[in-house]
Amino acid sequence: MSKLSEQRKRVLLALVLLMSSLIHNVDASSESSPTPEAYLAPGWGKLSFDAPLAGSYNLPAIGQAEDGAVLKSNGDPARLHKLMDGKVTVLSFVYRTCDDVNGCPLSTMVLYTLGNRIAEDPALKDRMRMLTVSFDPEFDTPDVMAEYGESILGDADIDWEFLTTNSETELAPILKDYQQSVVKDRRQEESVEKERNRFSHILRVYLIDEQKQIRNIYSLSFLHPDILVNDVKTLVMEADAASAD
Amino acid sequence: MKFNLKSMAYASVLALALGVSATQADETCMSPYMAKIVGQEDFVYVWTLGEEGLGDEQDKLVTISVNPSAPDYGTVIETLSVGGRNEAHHSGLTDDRHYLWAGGLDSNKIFIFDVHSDPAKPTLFKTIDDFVAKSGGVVGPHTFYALAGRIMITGLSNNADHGGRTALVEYTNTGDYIATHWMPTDDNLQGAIKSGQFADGYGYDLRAMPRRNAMFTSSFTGWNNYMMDFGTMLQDPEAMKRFGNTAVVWDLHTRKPKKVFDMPGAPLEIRCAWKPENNYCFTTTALTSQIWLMYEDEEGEWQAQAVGDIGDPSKIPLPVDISITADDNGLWVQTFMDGKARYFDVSDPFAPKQTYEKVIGSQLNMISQSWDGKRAYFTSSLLDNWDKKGEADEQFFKSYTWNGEELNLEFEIDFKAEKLGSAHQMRFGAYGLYGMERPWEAAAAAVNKSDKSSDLAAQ
Repeated sequence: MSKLSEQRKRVLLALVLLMSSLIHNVDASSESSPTPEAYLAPGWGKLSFDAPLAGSYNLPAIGQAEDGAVLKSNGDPARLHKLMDGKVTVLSFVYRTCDDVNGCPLSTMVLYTLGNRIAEDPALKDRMRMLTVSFDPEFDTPDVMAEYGESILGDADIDWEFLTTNSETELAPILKDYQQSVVKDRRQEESVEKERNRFSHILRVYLIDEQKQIRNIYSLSFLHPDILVNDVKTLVMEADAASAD
Repeated sequence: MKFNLKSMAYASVLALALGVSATQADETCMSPYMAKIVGQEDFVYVWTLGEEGLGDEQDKLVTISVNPSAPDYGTVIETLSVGGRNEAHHSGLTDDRHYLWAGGLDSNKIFIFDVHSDPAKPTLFKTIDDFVAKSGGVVGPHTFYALAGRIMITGLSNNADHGGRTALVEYTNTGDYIATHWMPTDDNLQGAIKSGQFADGYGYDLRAMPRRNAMFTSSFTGWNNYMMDFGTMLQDPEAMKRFGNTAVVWDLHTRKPKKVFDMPGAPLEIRCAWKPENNYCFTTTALTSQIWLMYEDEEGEWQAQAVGDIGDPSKIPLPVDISITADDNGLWVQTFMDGKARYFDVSDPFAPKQTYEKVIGSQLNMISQSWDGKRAYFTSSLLDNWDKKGEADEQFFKSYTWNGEELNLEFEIDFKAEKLGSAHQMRFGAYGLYGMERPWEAAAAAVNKSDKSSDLAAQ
């Protein structure tokens, strides 16, 4: 891994360690719940088992990856299906100000690591694209997503689009289609001087094949670059075998 | 960051939907993939068998209010009948807790309830009535276990001989079939290591341990037996041979079986430890009344061993449901025949010690405990043809508090007197999972706000 990527990983880790302590304090003060221990998802560390070898297993189709209207970070309208065309796609949902240690920062770090590893492999480099869609069109405008993407990518050569939507109305069917559960914090809605939105959400990342079928869904327990790399390779090997037939 | 007590409580409830950690569960036996309730549950959903001659005679989902602060605390607030009897048995929530899946062991129908639109009033979202055909012949949908964005179902039987050979069947959260994974057998071990005498291909429960990429299954018996009268079956030596004697550890990611363990006497429920360093799971054998431990040894190899007896095995107390505590130090074991809840100290998982027991009823099957272990709920029914007869066939939901030394009854609901049926599996629900305020708290807050406005107006 390059020096730059190590630096970025350290910055992300410092951020989430800070957030981890905040989460711990909030929960510890609750009268109605036991004190949970601060917990970092497996994706932040070394995988505690050997990821199954690429191509040694099948990933059955879970369903069709649905289409949807999005905005690219330069403001251009686009369709999800068009962006997925011809490549294995890894799709995640985040929001710019998400500070859940095991939420968006985790998925962003895992995707960043995945992207670097794929970029380093000439056989895979042009076979995978990553799409990250914001939950929060109110604050995550194309400009914000562009800035966010640049802050993550730096000069890394990764095929990764940071997307948003025109409105919550346009976002809603995408979230529904992908069964991405999101709950907006009501306190923010009631606040007169709202500076940001907060969401509670189940972390999900989707692996989509070249036929636009969802082939795996990852939550925090299994979201790890080692697993994702081998799953992407498995789909590429499968596609190559099919085209050779 | 400044929080007052109210906002802290709200933050606690919000944590429900995050599922941030495998150590934050409500029911301590649920999938680590699932969204978690950190605090007080509002509802218990009881999947209930319809009984002939009782009420509408249909299987139904019964919703009970269990939050002591609720005005309707301790009562049935909703029933949703599904139009017939199916041998209602187990149920399970999806990882986002939007849907509750509930199965019928006889009809092979699966009912998917929407519990998120209004958690106080579940609705029937979808009925799957082609499970056998879609799965390639699997019968008896039993455990419904949440994985990321999908449900893994264990079968109990098959449509070829209605014996115990069966499979795992995978569906999307909203009910679309994905894949079938048959249990390893002597005929086809599928690459698994057979560590003892048996590779019977039977199935029952399933649990996952993502941190070790492991999945575990146990084994019961086929349709021929579980639909037979219990007394008749006990007198039938051939039928008694047709019980599972195995547990299997699988590669969770690839869904491939890795090792088959001998576990004589029908190992049923599986409960895995929560702490990252505790790489082991318990199960109990129904017919031989033993606690078994599946554990990872120092070489990283999965092993299984019997670690203790439950009651007097010669009397066949029939251990059924079990529940591990959040700190991994305790294991509740219910024995059906004597109606006892038994608490085992399992701080040394290789040497469980029973430290408490209490008779809950004339028969006893399921338990669900809160994450903090302070509340435990019990129900009575095992299988329609296996439940006791006459007056001994008590059918109840009982709510207890547990102070670490004894169980204290808070309230109970007589499912026969209420004409509901036979009470089986319980799952928890809460408003906070879906960003909803509890109605009675919202009403109180509105009154407070109104009072303050009046005060200001009067000044």
